[in-house]
Amino acid sequence: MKTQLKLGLLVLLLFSVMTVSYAEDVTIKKSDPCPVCGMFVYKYPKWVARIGFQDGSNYFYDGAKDMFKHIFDTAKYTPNKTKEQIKSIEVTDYYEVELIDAKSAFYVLGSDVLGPMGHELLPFKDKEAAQEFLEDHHGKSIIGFQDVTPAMIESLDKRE
Amino acid sequence: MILHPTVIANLLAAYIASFMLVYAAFYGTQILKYWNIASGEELQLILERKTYLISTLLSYVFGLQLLSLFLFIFTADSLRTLFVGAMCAAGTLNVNGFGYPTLVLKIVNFIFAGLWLVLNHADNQGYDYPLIKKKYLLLVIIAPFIVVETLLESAYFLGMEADVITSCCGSLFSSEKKSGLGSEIASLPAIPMLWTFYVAMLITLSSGVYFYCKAKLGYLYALLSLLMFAIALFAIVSVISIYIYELPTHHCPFCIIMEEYSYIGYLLYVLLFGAVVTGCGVGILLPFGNVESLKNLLDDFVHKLALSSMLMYSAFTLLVTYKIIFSNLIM
Repeated sequence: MKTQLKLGLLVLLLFSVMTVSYAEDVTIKKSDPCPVCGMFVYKYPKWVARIGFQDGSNYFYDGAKDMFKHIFDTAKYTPNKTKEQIKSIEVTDYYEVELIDAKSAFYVLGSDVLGPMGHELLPFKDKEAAQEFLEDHHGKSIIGFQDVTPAMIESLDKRE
Repeated sequence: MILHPTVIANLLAAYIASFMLVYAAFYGTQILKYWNIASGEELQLILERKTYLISTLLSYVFGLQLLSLFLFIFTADSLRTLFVGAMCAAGTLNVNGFGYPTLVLKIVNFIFAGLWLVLNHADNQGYDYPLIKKKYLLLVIIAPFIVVETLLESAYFLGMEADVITSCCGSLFSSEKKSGLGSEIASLPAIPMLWTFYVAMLITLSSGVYFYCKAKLGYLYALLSLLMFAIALFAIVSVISIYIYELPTHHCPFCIIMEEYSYIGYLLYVLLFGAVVTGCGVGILLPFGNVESLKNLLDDFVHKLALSSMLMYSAFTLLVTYKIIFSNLIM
């Protein structure tokens, strides 16, 4: 009985260790650069975006624009990874300042609000907030995750 | 204009240096015209007295000029938070069309100023002003460059507009975009560039050791050290940077001076600039080895210059190699 209890405790202990080691570390460290532009992301908490890969690695971005660049050309910025290995994608809601699922978010284009890298896609959790922002900040359109194209991202890099 | 303490410091340093240099260049031309050590005329006596004042003054001005390159980079780096899109000095320098020309001229003037200091030090070793005319000829050549630098720097700082969206270094030094010098250097193939760097360094250092031991082929070392300086700058953009950042697409030569990279860039650039000035210093002093009052003295000084140059290039290479070996870059 005593041996069984010990064995049970050992299994429990092993399990808990495994759970801890497999838990995702999604906190930004001071040394985390954006893989696309090299900026240190911790300086811009309002603009953080994140991609988590299946191998447990996480990449942070100083805006949704750079995050999309990584999605569109994953191997360029992370040579040993592919788009298919992406597990989770998150962006920061502009009003709530919290990480939300990027695939269900609404993005406002053409507004007068600039991110650390210039023109940006402003992410919102719900469409009403996005609409309100569009009206307040002279936005041009609201689009979903699937509607974003590489050409659209490239056009955001203009300097005017 | 942006009234930032570092901007004021930069402009003040530039105006002081220019003013002093124009004043010194005026006397420089008089020395070039009328200097005659054998004469006892009043003008010669005035010039002899003036030369002490001027060379002391110029030692400080050129010393300031050496520092001003690093102050300029530091300023551009610290102003990055004021411009949308700028993440380091690269973006700030791109705020208007005068940033990069100022930087290029500052690099050229750094080498000029260093060489003048070398020549001045050698001249001060002899009792009969042996290099005085050469020294002032060099001064007269340098002065317009420094004045143009001051004009460009003023245009750059005074023309800064806070509402511009500048380009970040990610796009200025992109290996994909083929436009712009930064991108062209960044797109040089990384591994061949690394080999070029190491082979060129080996040849440069071998020629340095040969000169140090045999006192021959000094001009070759001076030339190679100048060439090595350019190759090292290209290598920083093309390949060394990606190992330091551990990002396969990030080629910026300015982000390495940031706190997050332990300011390693400053150390690398100080070593590189120190090495090129002392290396070229060998070449500039070699023609004067036979001057009577400098015999023996100059030989020792030239060898010291060559040794310092080699040591600085070696330290640069060791530091770079260390960063490459311990880098977690995945290519």
